[in-house]
Amino acid sequence: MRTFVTFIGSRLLQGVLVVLGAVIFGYLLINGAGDPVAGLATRQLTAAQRAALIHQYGYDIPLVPRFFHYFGGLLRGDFGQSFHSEDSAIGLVMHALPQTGLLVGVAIAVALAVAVPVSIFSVLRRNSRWDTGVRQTLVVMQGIPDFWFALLLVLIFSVQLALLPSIANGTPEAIILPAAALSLPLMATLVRIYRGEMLEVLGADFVAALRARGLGNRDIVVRHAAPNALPALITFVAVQLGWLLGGTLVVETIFGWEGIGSLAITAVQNTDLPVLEALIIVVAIVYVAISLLADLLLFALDPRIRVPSA
Amino acid sequence: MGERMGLTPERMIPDYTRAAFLRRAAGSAIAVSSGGVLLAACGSDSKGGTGGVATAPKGTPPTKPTGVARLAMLGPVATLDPARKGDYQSYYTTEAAYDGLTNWSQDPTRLAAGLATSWQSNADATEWTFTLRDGVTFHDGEPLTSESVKKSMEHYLRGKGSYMGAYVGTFSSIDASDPKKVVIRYKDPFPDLARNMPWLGIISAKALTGSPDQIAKRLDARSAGAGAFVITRSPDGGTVTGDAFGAYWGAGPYLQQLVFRAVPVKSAQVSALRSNDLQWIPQVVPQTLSSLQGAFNTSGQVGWLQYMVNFACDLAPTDNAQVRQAISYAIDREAILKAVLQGQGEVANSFMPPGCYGSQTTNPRYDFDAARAKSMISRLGSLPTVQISYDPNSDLDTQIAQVMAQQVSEAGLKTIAHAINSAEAGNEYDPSKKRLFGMSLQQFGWINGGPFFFAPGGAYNLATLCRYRNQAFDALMVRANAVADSPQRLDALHVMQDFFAREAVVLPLFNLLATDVFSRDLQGYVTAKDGFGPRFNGMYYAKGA
Repeated sequence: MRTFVTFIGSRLLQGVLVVLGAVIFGYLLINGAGDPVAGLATRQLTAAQRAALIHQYGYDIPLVPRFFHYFGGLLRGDFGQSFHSEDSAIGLVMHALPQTGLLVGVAIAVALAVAVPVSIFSVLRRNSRWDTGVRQTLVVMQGIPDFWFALLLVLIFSVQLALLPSIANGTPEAIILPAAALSLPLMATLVRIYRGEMLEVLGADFVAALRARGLGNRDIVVRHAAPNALPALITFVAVQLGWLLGGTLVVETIFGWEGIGSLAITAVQNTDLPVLEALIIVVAIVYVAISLLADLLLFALDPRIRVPSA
Repeated sequence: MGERMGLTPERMIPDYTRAAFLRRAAGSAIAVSSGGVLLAACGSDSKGGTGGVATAPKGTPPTKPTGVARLAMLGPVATLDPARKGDYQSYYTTEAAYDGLTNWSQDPTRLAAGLATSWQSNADATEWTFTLRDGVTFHDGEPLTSESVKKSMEHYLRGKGSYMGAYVGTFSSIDASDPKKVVIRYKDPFPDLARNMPWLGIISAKALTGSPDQIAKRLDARSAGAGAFVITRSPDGGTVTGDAFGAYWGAGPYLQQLVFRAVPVKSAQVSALRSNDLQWIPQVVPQTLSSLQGAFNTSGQVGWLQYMVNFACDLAPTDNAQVRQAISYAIDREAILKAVLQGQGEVANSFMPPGCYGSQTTNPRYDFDAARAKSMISRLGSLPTVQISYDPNSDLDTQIAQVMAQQVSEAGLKTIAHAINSAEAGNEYDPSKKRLFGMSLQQFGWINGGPFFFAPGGAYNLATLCRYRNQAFDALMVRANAVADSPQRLDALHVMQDFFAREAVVLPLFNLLATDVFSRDLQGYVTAKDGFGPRFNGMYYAKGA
């Protein structure tokens, strides 16, 4: 029998390898090309000053030894200093991460809160006009990018109706529009996946047996199909969570939301290499952690995972 | 320096009509990437859209600071240390907290008193004396003394990461023995110190004690100036808050609090202005400005930001003065100003913008003359292709460069526009290296209202940038910077510029209009003449707003 320890152990090992890969490839990609001093220096510097700056930050050392020096720093918790502000790179990332986490968390919670009942209702009313309408709306919603939604929401709710703030202003309601912009396209995908999974479960033999025993459609869908379709939904949400953490760039920029998306854009604009490197590593770690959490949840929910295959 | 200050004009927003929006919103899933346009065209400012300045409620400043104004920043603020203000938003947030010994007045030919009530130099500008104002207190409660000035100047020259050394100059000594008088001495003439002072906010001496790291950390977090607002920064610099300083020496402030928010996307700034989440946004591009003028106040100045073309005098064919002159005649600046800049500025007829000390408009000029350009170029025979470099991060730079390349090509000299990268840009600014591109389109800010880019040995010296080596010109330049402000100095500056113009080393293009847009409820704000530094001391909410 597959033990819990074996399961977690293998997942952890995979996670470590993923993070290690992110560290190595991230560093090589960012530092392997281009002018390393672009983010450090203005044109006011003379050639000698530029050379001194390159030496100060170690960019005159070849790439591979420089990487090992950097890796040693990482193991001590030193991610370097921002070129732009001289703040600790990891400090900036850890300040921004909860902001993005909050935004993404709210977006996913809202998306789930709508998607689950809509999916169940759509399955219960399968092939009705309502179900057809839902599916057609989903097609449209899935095709609209989040930044377009964002601007539309700002136009309607901030500019025209003056109901909600258009930028992050420190008030609780400032999260509503950016979270809505992120959750709307996601909602469509969640409905599609969950609905599809439930329909697949409804085709299983045990469902036929339940019908034969006289169980009504509503009971079958709500008490059997919906829970059995959850693993697929959880897996998808975990993947989306990780994707959203790195994919909120545009929405955060539009709303002035001080999360890792905005930080990433600023770091790119300022060629702030230490911050970019720190972002890649932290996002990789968070992604691995979320995947592990999702695996744990699945392990708890789905007994089939605990049973060794024949 | 202008580019480092982030003064590149923002992205243009193309037109988009209400009808097109309604058609698209009705059913399609086609992505629209011009949402900002959507907001510009369909905003709630259709009322009173005469295109002129909005009629805002009038009023007088309140007797005590009242209200909060939320202001846009182009990006996060890296530091509140005025010695390390390396971008535009750092500059104007620190401007709210730090006052210099002198200040700009709206009459650009005169400096106004700041923390010094009077100043003078000796004849050759090697010794400057500033008499300090009484009754000035810093944000930390310390009084203004000559020691504060001395320490501030040392911080600007030698402080950790300071960008501002060139503005202070390498002084040989500072005499702070009299607490109300500061004497700064130089080995070589430094005639522009007084007009550099608005950039050098005075810092409390107490805040400048400790190691460089301690000072930097202290100044990063909270201001220690004598300005109208005490500013603090959020950890990532995305928000800067300025609270009214009760012991401010000057007029104002009339607002209780300023909140600067980083909103890098221009369309987001505009929508936030429309929804009243922001009350002030800076440097609005011409295309957006026209849609805002009906419902918001605007303030614009043709200031000291200037577009120019720098020729490479060490690279064929622009090493030939006749080629440079011909190219200058081939460029139709009026047409570019109208088509690309939408008239937001004026054609520059002098090397230094109007109001700068030494500016003159009687230099030899190269007004557009296509026929003359063609004739000159054809007489010069076969010439190699010219490349004009530009900053690809700026849409305006891109368009201007491409139009100029086309105009010069039409005159018979093949010219192509080249998007410059940072390594190439480093080469162009390194005087030990040959120029790579025959022409370079740049935006310069004449930041001290004086001959900043004609200072010998300066990193942005125009002659050095152009690799223009001429002993007679160099002698003129030294002469123009070897005496204090005087008719003699003015004469030297004028002769120097005439020389430069005849040689067509640089072609000034446009003096830009910097326009800020703000809420109709706000009064008392005027865009600074220099075009760089907004000041919020005099801003207030009209009564009843």
